[in-house]
Formats: sequence, structure tokens, C-alpha cells
Amino acid sequence: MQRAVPAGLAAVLWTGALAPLAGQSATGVHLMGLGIASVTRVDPVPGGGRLTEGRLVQPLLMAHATLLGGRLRALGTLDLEGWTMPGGELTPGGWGEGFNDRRHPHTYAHELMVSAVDILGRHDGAARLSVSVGKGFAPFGSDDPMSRPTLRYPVNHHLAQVLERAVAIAGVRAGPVLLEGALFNGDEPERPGQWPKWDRFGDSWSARLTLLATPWLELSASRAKVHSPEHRPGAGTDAWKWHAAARVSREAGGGRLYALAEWARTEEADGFFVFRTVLAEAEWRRGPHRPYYRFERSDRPEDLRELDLFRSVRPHLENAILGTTRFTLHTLGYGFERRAGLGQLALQPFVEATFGRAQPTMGGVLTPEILYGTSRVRAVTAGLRLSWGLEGHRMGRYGGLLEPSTSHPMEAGHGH
Amino acid sequence: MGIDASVRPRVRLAGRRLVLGLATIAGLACGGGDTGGPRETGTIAPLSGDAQTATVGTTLQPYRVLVTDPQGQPRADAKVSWSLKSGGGVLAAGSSQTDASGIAEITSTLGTLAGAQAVQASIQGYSGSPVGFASTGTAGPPAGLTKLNGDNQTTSRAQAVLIPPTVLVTDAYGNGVGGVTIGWAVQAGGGSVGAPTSVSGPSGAAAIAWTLGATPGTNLLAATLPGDTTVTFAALGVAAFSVDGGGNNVSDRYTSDLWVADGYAYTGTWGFRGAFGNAVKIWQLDPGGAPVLTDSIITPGISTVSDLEVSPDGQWLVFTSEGGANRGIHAYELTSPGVAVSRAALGNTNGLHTGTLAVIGGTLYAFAAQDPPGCALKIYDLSAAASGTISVASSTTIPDNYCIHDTFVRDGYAFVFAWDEGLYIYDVGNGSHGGSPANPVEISKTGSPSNLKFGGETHNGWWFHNPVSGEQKYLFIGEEGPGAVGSSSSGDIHVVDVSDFAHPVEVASFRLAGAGTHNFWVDEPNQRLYAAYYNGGVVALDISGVLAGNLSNRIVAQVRPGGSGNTYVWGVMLYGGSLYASDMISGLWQLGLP
Repeated sequence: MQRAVPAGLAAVLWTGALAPLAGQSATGVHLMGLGIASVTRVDPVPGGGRLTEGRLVQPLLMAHATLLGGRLRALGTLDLEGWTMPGGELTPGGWGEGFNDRRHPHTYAHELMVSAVDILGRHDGAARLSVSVGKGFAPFGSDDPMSRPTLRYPVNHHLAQVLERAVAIAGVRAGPVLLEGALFNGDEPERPGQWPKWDRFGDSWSARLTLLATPWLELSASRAKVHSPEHRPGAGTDAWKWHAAARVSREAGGGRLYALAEWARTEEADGFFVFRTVLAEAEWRRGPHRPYYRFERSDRPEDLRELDLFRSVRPHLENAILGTTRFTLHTLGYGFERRAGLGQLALQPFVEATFGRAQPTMGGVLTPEILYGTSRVRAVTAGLRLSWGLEGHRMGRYGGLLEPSTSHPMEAGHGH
Repeated sequence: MGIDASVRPRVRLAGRRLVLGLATIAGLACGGGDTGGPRETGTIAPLSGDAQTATVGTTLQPYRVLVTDPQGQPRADAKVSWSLKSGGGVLAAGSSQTDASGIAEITSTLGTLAGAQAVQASIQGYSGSPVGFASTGTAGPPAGLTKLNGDNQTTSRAQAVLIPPTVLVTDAYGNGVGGVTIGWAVQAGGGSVGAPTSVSGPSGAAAIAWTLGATPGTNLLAATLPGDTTVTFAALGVAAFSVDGGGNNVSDRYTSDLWVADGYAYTGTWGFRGAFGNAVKIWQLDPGGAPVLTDSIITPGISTVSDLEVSPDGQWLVFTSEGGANRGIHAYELTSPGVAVSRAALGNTNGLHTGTLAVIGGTLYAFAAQDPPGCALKIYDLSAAASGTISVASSTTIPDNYCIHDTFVRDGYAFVFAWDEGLYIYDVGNGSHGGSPANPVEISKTGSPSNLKFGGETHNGWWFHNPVSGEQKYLFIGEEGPGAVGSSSSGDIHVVDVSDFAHPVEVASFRLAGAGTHNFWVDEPNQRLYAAYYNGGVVALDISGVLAGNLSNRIVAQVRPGGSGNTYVWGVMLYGGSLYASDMISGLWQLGLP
């Protein structure tokens, strides 16, 4: 088993982070944290064979501050993955930012957002207008996988989310309808310590229409144009993205049901490349029990690999790919959650298994048979998830527009 | 991955249906309803008519709802509001009254666009309101046939066209009609089709494989819809290179560039095919037979041999490499033809994408393309390679917009092909602008990310000295567009007038439908350009005389030596009356000229 986690040091920092600031409620500061110690075994990995690794993944420290009666909000998320998993996390089918079959570490400054909420007050009647600026998620697609049940990131992460950008978002909510639009920089980060390329701010845009159809059903449709996401100077091809989703969160069967169904499509190089995904996932929480399941069928572009087959050549210097692999994966998991610290601290041991197939679509020279020696995909993970104050947090939602009102900004189950 | 054009309409339709579906659900969730009359309470529920499927434009069975009072008894004379939420079509009225049984109904006619229709019935304040109905309109009978893709292609005689001819079957409203059998028949030129019929898919697209006749010339193919609607595809069959030997001879790695000298061929390897592309293969040529592999140079710590060349005096084999700790430039002395002895290497932490050899002032130099970040034209002095030293003569920075891909050096000028940065021309020893390998002097640069030239993905080139006309005005530039290595490619040949080095101007271009170009070789005495064309194989163009506009009529021969699915040609080189081609999938080929 390979091991690259300075777990002891991480644990020290983590323990410290769990302690709430004195008087956080009175000052309107809410602290959140997350960390998952996990051991994952994947068969096969690039080059063939199997690999087992232990990692501390998703080590997050988050602070959410509210001022002016909730009209002004600030959110910061420190992500320490660049330190605890610089070589990425074993993830069959995972890709992006130069990683393959490993989920890349996020940037340290994962989110740094400031939102002005309900700017016009009563001047716009029942409608609410918010503006958010900073570094964070563009309004596109579904919630970040970090705030969803499954540990293993879906293959479609880069098809269904646009994150870690310098972004300016305007959002308006009228009744059950919520419309967000944003400008941002198209370049995605290349390493954890990298900031967005500020002079590219505004070269990309996204919009998301959300309908809060019922108290438990949320429908959304998104569109985005992302300029040269994989080539930081800006000479790469543009990505045109579509996304639609239905999200359910409700009481059911004596417990709480969460479900998400999403479809997304990304076109690049004027439609020369098309990548598609469908995903459905659900979790049912009853007492301490948390069974969950995810299905996805997602396309991955295959890039030219380095000698380390987990890594692809960056920066790009061609617009060719080596093929497209379609991953059809099932992920089953079970967590057993215990709470402490007035319910804020949650400890959840869990096991999770992924199985399915990888198949080439429409030709190419880097097929699963060449890369892995098989089309079969299997992975299993066991771990312990610790979180503080994260219950209901929707990562990537800003401006408080998901909330029924601005009077209670930290209402569980809503974004920030 | 190249998108199959036949897939696009279906994808768009699916997306449209999804949006309509969401809109339907949204409409159902938003509520609404009748606002007239006294406020009563009760229940409204669907009775019949939901989930019908019919041809577009059809009047459906009525949608019916049952209205009851709080006691569950049918309520007569209640006014039910009906609205069309999505999908087009027409409702017979905006409202209807319940009868004595508490039933209200409305007649709906589907719109002309295939897909979902959503209708809503409502009574304000009633439980269950609004009630949603959803029906599906399907395409009508086939009424039209149009060419969707694959017309006017060029390929060598007796070969299949790269893009299968594809038709779109539509109904009277333009909806794609699936399940329709299309007849295919060769009308002229001989040749054959994969099958006499094919069936349209859900989007209405139907395609067929088409192999041209054995005689060069025009080929015609008719597609017929039952009822005698016919469209005709044309293709030009040109002469073919003969496949004289080789092929399917490198199965352990993907093949990259090649060079031929003194009876031997040298081929590089690329990427990962179970093994990395860390090998240079050495082949003994036989004019009458297949190349024979005699040796391989394996270089640990690299993943690709990106370019290779033998020096003009035949004494040096020099190659560049990418990926891994040992990437850089490597010089081997050819102690005799085909016998290579390692003498010197110099690492480059970025990797080198290509290397072009040229003798300037009696010294052998390599003009190399340094990969990002920190793109540069790197000129290496190889004069001391025999004693183990390669030195950097100069390094000229090029902006990181996909960097330099190739360099062509002639008469002391270096033509640098730098993707979105376009074309750079340097004096590197001609003397016209005082340049030298140690101090290249920029004469001009053409293109930038905001002002793309030559297709914007400037990759390689050849400055043509025409011995017949005496002209040196044309520079052929290869554009390397998007592609899926091994299966698809794109990019044209651009002809640039460089009579004035300071102001290069594009004057002509050539496009091969369904494929993109890569490296060139020019037979100057015979005024022929040979271009590697990836999945399009090898193409020969007549480049005599004045070149202007569209050069599609200049193609004189083509071949896909490995056949469909087994051809992806990286480079070509003329030697000893044969054309040698390195194919990424199928290895080294020896081709006879047409």
C-alpha cells in the first residue's frame, strides 16, 4: 500500500479546526470543517494491475460570516488537498487538471466569496437580487461532489461543475424561480497554489435557471461557455456546456431522502468533440444509517500521458485527444453516522464500492484495453468521515437565494 | 472524437425534449388556474387522455378530468381552465364545463414538431389542481430526403470514401423519420456500396459505406427513398499509390516520425501502447521488398521520440524526445549506414517537440521546438557531438500559445510554425538581416491569438524552390486541427506567398474532407507535394504553375495504406523512387508513386 499522507500533522490541524470560535453565533460567524481518512483499492489502474493507497482527502476548513443582518456574507474555504494528496486520490475514470484515474487536489483557496444579499430590499417587491464576487464556483450544473453523499468523485466532475474561478455572479429570485448569471475566467487551475488568471476574467460566462418546484423538488438548467479551460494562456479550444438536473430532498420512509438526476453535455472545438454524461444518485438517511448509491455513464477525453500514466501532458500543445472512454459505473456505499458536540460534529465510518465498465467510443489509440488491459473497473474504499457544522451545506451556491428568506441566513439545507 | 454528423440532430432533439419535459414539470408545479366564478372547493383529478403518442399534427383523444365536491360527489357546471404548457399544438378552447358526471374534457391537436406536448387543467383552489397531461408527437410518414454529409469527397480509386454518405429522412414538417429503408445504388464510376439498403436511425439519418470504382474519375451514388425521391452523391476517384511493401510491422508501440538515408529508414515511436514510445527503429530497405527491422535504440526515461533526422552528410542520426527525465536531444553517430552509436545527449526539462537539422557555415545545427511552459526556438550546435557535447547556440522565446511545432530551414532562413502565433521567419545565417544561429534575427511574424492566420493551428511547412519556374514564392503550411489520434483529424494545407518575407500572404488552400494534414515532403523537380494526412493516408498534390484559391482539383493521388481503421500517417519521405510513410498505427510503409 502506498502512503503519502502526513496524517499525524494533518490530524493536529484538523483537531484544532474543529473547535468553534468563541461566540461564533453572536458574531455571525459559522465554522465548518471536513476531513476524510480513507483507504482505497482500485483494480485496474493505468498500466494494469491494482493499487491500494491511504489518503486524507477533502480536508476543508470553512468560515461563513454574516454582517448587516445577513445582507452581507463572506465565505472562505481552505482546502488542504494540495498538502495531503498532492498526487491525487485514486478515482477510477477521474480526470481533469492533468490527472487521470486520480482526482486532482483542489486549490488551497477553494472559495473566497463575498455576497451582497437582497440588495434592493423591498424596492424590488418580493424579488431578491444578490451579487457575489470572489473566487469560487460559477453558477453551472450541480452541487460540488464534496457536499454529496459519495466519497468517490464522479467521472463527470468537469462536465457538471465549473469551479475555482474568479467569478462575479448576479442572481435574482422571484418566487420559486431563481436565475443566476456570471462572468469568470475560463482557465482552470494547474496546481493547488495557483490563482485564477486575472486578466482572463470575463472571457467565460454561465447561467443557471433553478425552479424550486416544491419544497422538496428542485429543477435546474444551465448553460456555459468556457474559453480555453485547459490552456491557461488562452489558446485552447472553447467548451460549450449544457446541464439539466432534478434534485430531491425530503422526508421519506421514516428517514430523509436525497436524490439527484443530472444530464450534461460539453462540446469542444466547434463540436468536433462531444462529451456526455448522465448521473443519478440517492441517499437515504434513517437514524445513523446512510446507505447510498450512484449510477453514472460519463465520457472522458483521453489526453497524451506522461511516463506516469496517471498524469497527462500539461500545458496542452495540440488540440487532439487520444480517444474517448465511456465509464459506466455503479457506486454503492454505507455510512454509519454518530453525532457529538451538540450535533455539530459528525463521525461517519463508511465503506464504498464501485464497479462497472470502461469502453472506447468513436475510435482513438488509448483504449481501456491498452491503458488498463481490461474494460472492467472495480474499486473499494473504507474510511472515516469527520465533519463539523456541514449539515445541509450546498457547496457552490452563493447569495442566499436558495433560502426562503434572508432572515435566517444559516438555515440548514441551503447555500450561502 | 469526431462528432458523427448524423448524431447531432438526435442529440439536439433529446436536449429539446429534456427542456420541454422540465418546462412541463415546472408548469405543473407552478400552478395557476381559473379565477372566475364563486370560490368553491373540491378536487380535480385526471381521468383519461394522458400519455398518448400520435403523429405530429394529429388531433388526440380528449384529455379528461373528473371534478368532485368535498364530499366526493361529481360537480357539474364547474369551469375548468386548459392551457398548453409546452410542445406546440392547439387546444380546442381555453376552458370547458363539467357535465353532470363531473367530467370536463378538451380536445388537443399536436404541433408539428416531434416531441412532448404538455397540457394543464386547473381550477383555482381545488385540490389536485393543476392536473398535467403529457403526450408525444412522433414524426409523420417520410416525405423528404436530403444529403446530410459525405458529398463531393475525393479519395483514391478503389478505396472507400472517408465520410460515409449520409442522408436525412424527414416528414412533411422536417422532423427526422427513423426506421425508413433507403436504397443505395452506384450510378457511375463502378465501385460498390456496403449494402443495397440501410435503415434510418431515430434522428432520421441513414448512412452507407461507399467504395469507389477502380478507374479514376467521377463516381455517383444514388440514395432513394421509397416513393422514388432520390438524391445523388458525387465523389472523385484519383490515382492510387501502390503499396509495395511494409506495413503492420510495429505492433508494440505507436510509430511517429521517419527519415530515410543511405538505404536505411529510421522511425520514432510515440505515446503509450502497452509500451512507451522510447524506441527508434532502424530498417534496412529493399527496393523490391518490405523494409526489414535491423535494430532498435531504446532510450529509458522518455515517452516519445518526437522527431528524427539524418544529417545531410549521413553521419549523424539526431532525435528529439518528450516526456520523462531524459527528454531532450540525442545524437548518434552513424558509423555505417544503419549502425548508430550514441555520442551525445542534452536534456531539456520541457521536452522538444521537433528538431530540424541544417548545416550553416559548415556547422551542423538542430533547430528544436521547446515545449511549454516557456516555449522557445532552441538552436543546438552539434559540432562537438562526437566528443560528447551538444551546446545551445541560442534560445528564442515564443509566446506560450501552443508553442512551436516545427521548423523548416533553408538558405539560412528558419521558418517557425508556432500554432496560434502563426509563422515566424528568422534570418539564422543567410546574412540578409545579419542573423546567425547564435543570434536569429526576426524578419516577420504573422498571426496571433487575436488575429489567427493559416487556420490558426500552424504546424509545419515547406519552402518550395521550383526548379521549373525558378520561383521561390510558395510556402506550404500544414494546419493541425482537432482530431482523435488513430481515428479522426482535421486541418488544411495553406499556400502562402512569401515573395516578400516581411508580408507573407495566403493565396491558396487545400482541404481533404474527413481528414487533416500533418508532415510534408516535396518532390521539387516533379513539382509534387506529398502530405501525410493521418486517417486520410497519403495525398499527392500537383503544385506546378500558379497556385490560387481552392486547390481541390490539384490532388493527383491518395492511398490509405493500412486501410480504414488501420491508417493514421504521421510523415512521408521520398527516397530512391519510393515514398516511405510512417503510420502511427500500422508502422512503416513503402509506396510506389502513381
